[in-house]
Amino acid sequence: MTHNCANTTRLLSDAQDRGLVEEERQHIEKHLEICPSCVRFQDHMAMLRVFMHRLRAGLGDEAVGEIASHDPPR
Amino acid sequence: MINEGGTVTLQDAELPDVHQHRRYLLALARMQLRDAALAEDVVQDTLEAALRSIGSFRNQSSVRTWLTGILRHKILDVLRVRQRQPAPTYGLEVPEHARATDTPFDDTGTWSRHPQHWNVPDEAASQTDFLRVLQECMSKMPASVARAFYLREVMEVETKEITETLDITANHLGVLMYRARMLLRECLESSWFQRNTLT
Repeated sequence: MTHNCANTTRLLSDAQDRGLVEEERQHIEKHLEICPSCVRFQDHMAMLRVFMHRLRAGLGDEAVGEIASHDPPR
Repeated sequence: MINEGGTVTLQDAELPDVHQHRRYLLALARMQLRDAALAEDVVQDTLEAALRSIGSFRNQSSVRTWLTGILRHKILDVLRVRQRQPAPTYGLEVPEHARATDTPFDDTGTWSRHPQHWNVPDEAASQTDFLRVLQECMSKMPASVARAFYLREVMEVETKEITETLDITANHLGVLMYRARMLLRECLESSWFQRNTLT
C-alpha cells in the first residue's frame, strides 16, 4: 500500500471499526511521524465518536431532540 | 430478551416516563430510518414489546438502555427486510459535496484541504448549537452512507451484524464508514469549527 495521506486516513477510519493487523499499524505509525495533518485527522476520528455519543445522549432533550426529527413532532 | 410467552398487558403507567422514552426512541428511529411514519411504527412496536416483557427487565441496565436494545433489534429487522426489496427510492440524489470524486486529496494522495484545529465547545449553550450543526451535517450524507454510519455510531451495532443486515462485504462497510467520516469531518469543519474559532 502506497504511503500517502489518502491510504493512511482510510486505515485510521478502519481502526475505529476493526482491529488492524501489524502491517497496517506500522503503515500508520510511519506516516504519522512525518504528517501533522494526518495526526490531526486521527484526533478528529476520536472526536467524531465522542460527538456522536453526546448527540445520542442529548436526543431526549427539548433542544436537541426536536431537530433529530427532520419534521416537526405531532 | 423479548419474552413472547409471558405476554402480560400492562398500562403506560407501569413504565414510568414512557413519554420521555418514546420521544428519545422516536428521535433515534427517525435519524436512523429517515422516514417519520416508519419510525413511529417501529417505536410503537418497541414499546409494545417492552410492555409485554417488562417482567424480564431486571434493572441491570437503565430503562433507556433496555428500550434502546429492543429498538435496535426492531430497526435491524426493518433494514434486513428492506435490503431484500428493490432499491429504496430515497437518497438517489447525491449532493454536490458528497461525490466520491470530491476528495480533500490531490493526485498523489496528499492533503489538498488540510484538517484544521478544532476548538470543541464545552459551554452548554454552544453545545446545543453544535449538536444542531452536527445533525445538519449528518442529514446531508447520502442515504447509503448515513445508514451504515448511524448503525455503527448511533445504534452501536457491531460491524459483523451491520454487514449481515445490509448484505455488504466488510470492505464495502469500510468504504461507507470512511466516506461518512470524511464528509462529516469536512462539513463540521466548514460549518462550525472555522466559524467558531475562539480567542
